[in-house]
Amino acid sequence: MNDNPSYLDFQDYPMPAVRWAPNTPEVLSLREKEKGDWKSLSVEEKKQLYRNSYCQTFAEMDAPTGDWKRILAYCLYGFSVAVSLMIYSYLFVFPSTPETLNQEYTDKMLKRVLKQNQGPITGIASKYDYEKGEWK
Amino acid sequence: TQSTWAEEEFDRRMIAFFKRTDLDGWWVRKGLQELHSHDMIPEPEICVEALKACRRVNEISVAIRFLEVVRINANCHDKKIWPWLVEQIQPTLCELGIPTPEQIGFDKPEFYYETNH
Repeated sequence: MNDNPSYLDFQDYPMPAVRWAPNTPEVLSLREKEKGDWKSLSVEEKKQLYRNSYCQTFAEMDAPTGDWKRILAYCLYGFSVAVSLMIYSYLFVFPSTPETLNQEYTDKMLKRVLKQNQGPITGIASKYDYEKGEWK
Repeated sequence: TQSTWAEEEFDRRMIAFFKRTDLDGWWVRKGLQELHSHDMIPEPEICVEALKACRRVNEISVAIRFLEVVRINANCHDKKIWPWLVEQIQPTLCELGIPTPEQIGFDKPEFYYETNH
């Protein structure tokens, strides 16, 4: 595949260009035996012949690697760093909210808005009944 | 071209290819790769001829790999196809002494490798 004879365990190309194991004497002697009758090979020898030519079987190729656990761990680690930074900032770094945001102050602001008749047609004052003095 | 052949024509050509006596290891693998690239489950006759071609070049690992590939293709479609196919080619398997992936234990992962793709 792609010009250079190389080994690749790939589902689309099941038989690569070169063998997996290097040609040691044991490998070569087993290959000599392969030339004879295959029924005389034991199961172990057949498996060994396969492993000499190929690195992984298809079942091993397709098997889940559990890689996702490592990736999830990295993501959660980054997330926890961010969250802890935010907690620290809220507690020690940011000033407290101004007094203009408490309930008393906002009530008074609302009354002022209604007195000024802000948003008379489609806004807030249109929802207030001025004759009866209460919300519509 | 290959896409316009009828099914019987395709089967006939494949069988004729694998029946050739002057194939060497590379040609057998090329033929099996072509068969695999069609993403099909080959007829039992084609399987038998391919296994005999593997025998002629003395490559049992290629034969087992071929059977693994056919098994995966068959299991993608229907769980019942693979047992039927094995039954059809069982005489050849017995005659040549080729184990199916289940018999040899290759349908489950055996080893774990650190793959660095």
